[in-house]
Amino acid sequence: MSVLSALILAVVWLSAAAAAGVTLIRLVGVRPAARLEWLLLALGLGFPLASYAMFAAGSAGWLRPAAAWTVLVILTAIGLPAWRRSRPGSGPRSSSAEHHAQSGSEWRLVIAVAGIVGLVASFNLIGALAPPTEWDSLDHHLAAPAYFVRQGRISFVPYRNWPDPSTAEMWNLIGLLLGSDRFAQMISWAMGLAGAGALYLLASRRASPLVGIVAAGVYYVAPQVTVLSASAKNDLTWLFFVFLSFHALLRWSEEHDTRWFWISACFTGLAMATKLHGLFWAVSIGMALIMIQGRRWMCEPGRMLTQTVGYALVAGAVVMPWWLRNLLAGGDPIWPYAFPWLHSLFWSQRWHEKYTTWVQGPGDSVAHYVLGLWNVTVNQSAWLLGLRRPLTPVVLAFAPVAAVSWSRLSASLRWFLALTTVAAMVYYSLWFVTYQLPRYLLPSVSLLTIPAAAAFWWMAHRRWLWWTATGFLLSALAFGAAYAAAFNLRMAPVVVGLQSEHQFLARNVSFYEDLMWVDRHLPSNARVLYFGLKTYYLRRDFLRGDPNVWPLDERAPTGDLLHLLRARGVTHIFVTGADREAGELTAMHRGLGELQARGYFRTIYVNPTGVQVESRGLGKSRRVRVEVWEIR
Amino acid sequence: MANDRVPVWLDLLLALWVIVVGILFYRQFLPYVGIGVRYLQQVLTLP
Repeated sequence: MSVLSALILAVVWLSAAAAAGVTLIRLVGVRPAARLEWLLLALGLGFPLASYAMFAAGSAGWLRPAAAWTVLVILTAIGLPAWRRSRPGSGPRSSSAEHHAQSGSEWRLVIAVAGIVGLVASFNLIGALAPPTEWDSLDHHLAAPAYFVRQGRISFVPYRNWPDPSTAEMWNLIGLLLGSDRFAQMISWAMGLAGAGALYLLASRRASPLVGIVAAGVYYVAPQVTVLSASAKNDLTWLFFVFLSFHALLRWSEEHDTRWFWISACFTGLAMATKLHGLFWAVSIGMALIMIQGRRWMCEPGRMLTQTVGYALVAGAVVMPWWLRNLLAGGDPIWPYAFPWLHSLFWSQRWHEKYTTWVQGPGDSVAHYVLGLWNVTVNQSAWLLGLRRPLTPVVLAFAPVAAVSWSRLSASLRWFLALTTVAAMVYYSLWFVTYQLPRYLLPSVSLLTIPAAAAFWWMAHRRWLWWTATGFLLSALAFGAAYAAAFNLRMAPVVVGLQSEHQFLARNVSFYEDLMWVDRHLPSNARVLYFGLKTYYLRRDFLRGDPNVWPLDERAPTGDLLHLLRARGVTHIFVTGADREAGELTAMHRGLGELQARGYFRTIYVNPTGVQVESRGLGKSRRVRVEVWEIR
Repeated sequence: MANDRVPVWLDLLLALWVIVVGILFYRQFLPYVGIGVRYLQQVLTLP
């Protein structure tokens, strides 16, 4: 499918989802205050309709293009009343907005921020239109849907990350059913912009449009968002739900309309149904809820408890389809992370310990906790890949300014910033005691752009500090724009047709040429044992060599391994020099090596200079030997 | 936003803080400048 066709399909599907969302908004009866709120709320409610319909169809074994088109028909049918009726009415506008752009310099700055966001969005679109090459997309965000499409159904597959809640990946599935993997990346790109819109909505309504535009600009221009926009990952959809859930909760607290309360609970559930770290967000927004309830816990504890439990139950009900599937098939709703309590199937104490001791940050002491924001900003090389995907410096620069300006802000703004900061800090604390991957910190960093933006404007309005504050902000945005240009423009030749897809993928995807050989030369009923993780471009049936699905004792005779390979229908084995270096695979490879030496396997393909890509952005790769063995 | 008086030394301190964060942030990427230039050359010389 051509890139243009995929772009049109993405627009059609998202429009249909938003239209269905408008009908849902009307059914619920809430009145969004502005067009942007209508649009984002509609998208937030309509988007998961498609996901859940696709999940139901896939689980029932109906995965074919007709299923994707049926989802479109359903969305259109639900959204028909929205198309037919007049434009969305507008309710009362924000009353708490304190500051609109007034002076010429403010306008110029707003235009500059909007211009940079537009520029970065254009660069990011180029990346989204290129063939998928991002690691996690090839490992599971696209690989799992592609596998399900080949199998004709969605099933529980016990490879790490595959059984995670997949609200966003269901859209990737729609794209693959329609014949386009760019569709998935375009959805991610669109959700990046939608997330920026949601952050603007959240901040502009409570602080001011100026604060909103700076916060949203800093969020969107961040290199992490650039990388995610050109991938099929779920993070940007997840952040969109995070921001909407917080916005809806605040709407409830401002208007005492319980419908916003339940909408917030639904969005929190969707955050959990999009990414496992949504659980951390559920705790964080729960803390904000308790703060909003405040003294009423003393006066009406029973009612407050019911309210809080109700919120948790609704959020839990939204994520339940995924959890239930995992519980039934893998013995663990959040497979395999509840292993210590539920002894998840297809997992073991060894793997549990491996992943729980797997940390990326520089440390987990109290000092590291206190200096967390400092470290993730100016000590990024302490993290794996930290410098390659930098976090914004704006939050660290303006956080102390926020503290100084605190007493000079209005009470309502202080309350909003306090809620935002507490939610961000609770999330940060949970992140800190776990894996510490900088990308997973995005909810905290993104929410903290709001106090940072408020502090920026406070500082900018202090006459001679204008140049310091705006200079820093613009330099950070320019850095983001330069990063977006460097990251995405290398994909421009393949997007405009100056470079062939094959040539591009051979340079950016590990063992692409070898995988193409497998796709072309192995019989269609072949089943390949594959030791890598990135299976997206492997178009034959496969079993991954993940140790948790090959529970072999190191002392087991090689005959057991051969028996297991045959019992599982493996016909070919794809081995690379890179696999053999991985310590945990050694036992399996030793067994395979012995079997090969005894003549049970026939080598049918050898490439002594297979390309293993180490960094797409920096163009780094190394050469390793690749072989394909056929089991006799 | 209220914009009342703040001691000059505090203004100076805030400005200094922002500048220091900027310097420390950008200095992390100095080694990448050379890579960036080579990379740009590579992009510009593609067919």
